Amino acid sequence: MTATEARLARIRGRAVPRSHNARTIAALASNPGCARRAIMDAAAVDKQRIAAYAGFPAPFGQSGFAFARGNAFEAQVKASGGAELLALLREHLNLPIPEAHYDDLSEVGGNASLDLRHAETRNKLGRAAGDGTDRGTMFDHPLLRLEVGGRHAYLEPDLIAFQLNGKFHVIEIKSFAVIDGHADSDKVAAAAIQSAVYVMALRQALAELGVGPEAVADETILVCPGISPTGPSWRRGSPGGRGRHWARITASSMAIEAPWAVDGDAAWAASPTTIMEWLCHIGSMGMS
Amino acid sequence: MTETAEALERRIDRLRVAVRQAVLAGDRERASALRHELKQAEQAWEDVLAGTAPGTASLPDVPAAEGAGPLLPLREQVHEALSLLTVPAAPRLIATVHEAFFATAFPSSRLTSLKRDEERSFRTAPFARPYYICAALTADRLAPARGLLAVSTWPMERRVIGSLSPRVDFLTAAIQIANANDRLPAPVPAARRLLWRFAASIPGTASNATQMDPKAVTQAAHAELAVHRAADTAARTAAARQARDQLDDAAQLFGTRLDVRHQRRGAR
Repeated sequence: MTATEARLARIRGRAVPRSHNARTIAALASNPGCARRAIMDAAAVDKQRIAAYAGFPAPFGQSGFAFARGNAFEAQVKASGGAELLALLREHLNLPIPEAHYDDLSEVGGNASLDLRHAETRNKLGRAAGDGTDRGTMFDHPLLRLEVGGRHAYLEPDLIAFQLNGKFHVIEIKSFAVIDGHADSDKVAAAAIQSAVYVMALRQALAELGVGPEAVADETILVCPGISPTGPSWRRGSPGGRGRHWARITASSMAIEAPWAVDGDAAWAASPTTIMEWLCHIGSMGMS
Repeated sequence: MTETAEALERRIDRLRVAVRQAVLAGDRERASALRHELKQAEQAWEDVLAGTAPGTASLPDVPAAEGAGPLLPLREQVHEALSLLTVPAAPRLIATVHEAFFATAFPSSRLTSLKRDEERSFRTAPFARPYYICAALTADRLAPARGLLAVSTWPMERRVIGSLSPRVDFLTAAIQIANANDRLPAPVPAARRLLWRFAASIPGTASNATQMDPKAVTQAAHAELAVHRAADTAARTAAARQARDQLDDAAQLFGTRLDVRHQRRGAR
């Protein structure tokens, strides 16, 4: 454990660390500059519980209906070896006909252990990016890993498509509707940030295998239900700007700059004045 | 208990009214349940009629006349659908195929336990049944491929799944569905809808569902199949040989699972 991790652990105290996922990591980027929240995120503190403790419980979580709808749409797009998705890739990215491989990484030999799946993902993506002898086109549910505040967060992009010109494209499947070419901009933005997180995680994974960042496209692909008889719709966008913004405020950079001097079990045990002092100090240390 | 033809006719009339009311009220779930009941009543009526027709009086007892369930056990229905497709398929597709071509529907969720039951049956008394609904195996690790069902009498080459196999199987299934559509004396909407779901994802087929021609779909699928077949066959043949060499009978049908000593949920 590094000194930073130790300090973060002291902030968290005896509480069980919350594990990050793409959604929560993406939320780091939409944090408008609240350093208090940044520290909590870096220390993997359970913010909902703190809110509840402070008398502001979250009224509801993620809607079960939205969840089911998302899963159903994803299943439809990926059914039969990603048939619908393949049609979209061919139409919009001119994916050559022979490129129709489909690798399911949601299990390794019938075993869904995260470590195993992560290793298998690295293995397969590395081989596909390497000499090109073992190509893949679509990798379903690859498991990537990103370090946040000294802890590993496992991330599961919806799909990674590999193109002939040697670039991986992250594909995000979302169930919000695109009507007449327009979608809710907030939702598109959230999806873009989320895919930026995946792009970074994928670049990091490939970097460990000695593959440069150019192997992963800046552009990501968003597949949404559209009002059209042929099914899913299509968006392409570059989350590059967001990615950089996010990179600037990675939790590890926050952790390095945060002057922890916390006593007691958890950050919220300190008095508000003390917390404010630290936060002001962090704010002046180039977090902008 | 068998109802008389007259009683069935009255019940069918009542059910038709109930379906109409449910549809008008927008209660889709109830409407679909009632339609199912209606279909069964109509079938029972046909059966009664066939039983009382002159010359066929001594027909054997038809189990469906009970009115409760379909004619065949679930595993045989799955077998029918898979035999039509000729390739490993997911429960949802199997259910859709059966509904389109064999007119009985079953919830695909019922298939989740089927494979387990089949495996149990095979392990208790190996090869006691003429066929088993079994797993498709992944080519790299010979583990059960997630969410795919197959028939034990198929050659191993058809039951192993390499990275190109999902596409090859999709195209093969499209050809089978197109041929089956072609054989139907009159167009069946459900069967055509199913074919369109395949055709929409194959390049070179019709641009919309109404213009779709089953023969054109077959042709387009064959054209794409020609691109993938060699690579897929090579991968499958190698994997099948490995499976036959390394696995015992049960594992050949239901796959092996990777056993990891430290099955922890990852360092979080």
